[in-house]
Amino acid sequence: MPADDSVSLSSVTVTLAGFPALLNLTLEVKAGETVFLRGPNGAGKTTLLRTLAGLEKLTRGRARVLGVELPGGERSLRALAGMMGTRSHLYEDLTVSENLDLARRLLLVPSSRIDDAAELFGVRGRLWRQRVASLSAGQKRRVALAALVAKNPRLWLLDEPHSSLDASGRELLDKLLVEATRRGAIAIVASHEADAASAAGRVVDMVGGTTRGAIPRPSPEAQA
Amino acid sequence: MIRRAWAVARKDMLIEFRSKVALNQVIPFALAVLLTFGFALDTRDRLLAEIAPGLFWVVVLFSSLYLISRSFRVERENSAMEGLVLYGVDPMAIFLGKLAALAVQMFVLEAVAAAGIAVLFNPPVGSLGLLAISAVAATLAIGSIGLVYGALSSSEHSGESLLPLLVIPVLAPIVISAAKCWSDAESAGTGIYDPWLKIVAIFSVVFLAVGAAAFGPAMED
Repeated sequence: MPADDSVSLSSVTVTLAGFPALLNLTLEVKAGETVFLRGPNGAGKTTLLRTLAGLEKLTRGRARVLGVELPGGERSLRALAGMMGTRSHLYEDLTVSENLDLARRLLLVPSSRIDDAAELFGVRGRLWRQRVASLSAGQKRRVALAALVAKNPRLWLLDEPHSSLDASGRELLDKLLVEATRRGAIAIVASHEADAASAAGRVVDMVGGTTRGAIPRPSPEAQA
Repeated sequence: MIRRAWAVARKDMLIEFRSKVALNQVIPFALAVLLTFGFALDTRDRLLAEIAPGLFWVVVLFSSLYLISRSFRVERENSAMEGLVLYGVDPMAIFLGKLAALAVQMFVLEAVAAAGIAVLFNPPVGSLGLLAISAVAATLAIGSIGLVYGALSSSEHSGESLLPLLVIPVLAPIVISAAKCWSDAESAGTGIYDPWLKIVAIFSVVFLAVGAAAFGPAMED
């Protein structure tokens, strides 16, 4: 496996509105590994996922994600990582097919890949011509997951992935994650739900913006 | 990048086609302002014709602010703009796509407002070419700067009310120049060699370049 298919964070601090959401966090994840992030609200799980997706900038420290150096390579990283947060990233005024067609045009992938992903998540049938605004939270989640699967990312970043999904949706997503990591992708999953840990290869506990066991006191510069 | 810019433009146009905000809200607002001025200034035709160029561009500017706000409101729902970024789309492609969609909506708005002015105020028109070229250049300038400030203000809680305060002072020169172009176009005069058109064209090129360069940082701020 190439060395740059891994994630390596070294003493990373990310400050949001003056608050150190991540603090001197160090984490190593190898290719093909699944990591389950566990921790209370405000532990920094979402910020860590957003940082790995290239959506937040490092205030201090260094990171190498899929061969991309941070800070500096955020834009390149976004094309490689796939993130499913608490928001669906869908346009409410557009139909399911129009949202997924937009994903196809922006990802520059063939229609068959979108069709297959939509079929997989069961949004090709009667939902296909429905506006997203009329869908339930679980249905929106399925559409967003179809777009994510079509992207086929090398780094899966999932924040509460089971939220709003029914049992079959959860099972399908877990199965896809196992398949993706078998192909060498990395999956990092943040969730409060215990069952999400079942698919995880490694559990990382987070508290106070860092991994448990290394909880330094916030320095005055980090809080500034 | 062009394919992705086209995808963004197509998406914005589809959203407008579905929601019909420009058709049902913005265009009626523009016509209501023109009618209000027409009634407020009574039937003094000469005065109405004299103020028509300035009134046209003020109406276009204010109505465009609504279109710009709307363009970013749909991106805020479900953090859709973040989704575009996560597809790996270059901010330049997002800027060009949104500008193209905004320009199309503004051209429709300008055509309807111009027709309203023609009917209500009956100004003379000597050079349609000068009017059309100045309108295209001014539209690109207003759209470019509007998108940068729209992106900046969309992340703020009070962003939508902040937008006019940020944009109007910056765009005042283009509105003045474009109105002067219209005044010159009323007499056949210099046609497309009009000195005010050169000023509008320079502003358009500069604002387009500034918009293209500043949109990415503004979006990610």
